[in-house]
Amino acid sequence: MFRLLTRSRVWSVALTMLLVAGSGCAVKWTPYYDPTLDSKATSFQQDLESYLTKLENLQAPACTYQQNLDFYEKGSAEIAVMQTRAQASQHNTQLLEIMGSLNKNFADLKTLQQGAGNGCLNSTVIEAARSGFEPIFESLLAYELALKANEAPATAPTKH
Amino acid sequence: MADFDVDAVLKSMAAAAAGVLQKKWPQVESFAKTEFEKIAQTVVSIGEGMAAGTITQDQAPILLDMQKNASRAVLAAVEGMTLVAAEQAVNAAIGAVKTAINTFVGFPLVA
Repeated sequence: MFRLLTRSRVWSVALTMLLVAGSGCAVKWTPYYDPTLDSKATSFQQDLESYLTKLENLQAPACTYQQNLDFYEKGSAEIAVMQTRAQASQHNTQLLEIMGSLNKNFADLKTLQQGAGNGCLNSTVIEAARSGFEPIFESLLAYELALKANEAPATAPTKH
Repeated sequence: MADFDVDAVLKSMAAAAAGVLQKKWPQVESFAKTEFEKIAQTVVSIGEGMAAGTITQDQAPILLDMQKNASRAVLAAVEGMTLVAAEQAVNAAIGAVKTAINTFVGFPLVA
């Protein structure tokens, strides 16, 4: 069939495919950079790091889950906000995966602290938990930076 | 505590992942191996912590789960950044033939 097409028809088909696939003139397979998500992730990382550092120096009962419900309520709300922003982004598969990992690790931290009952998590466990969070924040921030670098400032949408 | 041969474990992990990913494996191999090393190191730390009495049997699977979640996030970010690079390459390619395209269609299709 392609043998029947003239060179100009091949061009036309290629251009049509370009138009359909690219919705205009450039392809877009990734989310737009979201400065709010970027900022909220950094803020959450600071809160979490402060909490873990504080936890290493507390004694029972101040170190128990029951005495730190505020942190978990605030943290859950912050993650929910970030997940909503990721959900609202186009081409969000990777963002959702990263946010899902953050949410699971936060739930795991909560389970660890609940499991300690009336006692404190020791520094070995806290450090192991911390090392589970750090790559997630690094991944999210590196990805957001890549998205930021991928955008010309003049074409970035204003959706905030 | 039983011996834990990290090198042998890493080779088994890489072989299993390569089998699942097949053609995609070379694209993620270096990142994946780094993540496997972290998982293996976490296993070593957990084993040492359990032997020292600083990590309980209940805490061990949770800590391993946290490392697995972290690895998932790293690989997702790598995949995302690969897409960013692919997007840039395709847009650069289209940009390179912009004049030819716009001349052919008779209007500025490619800005």
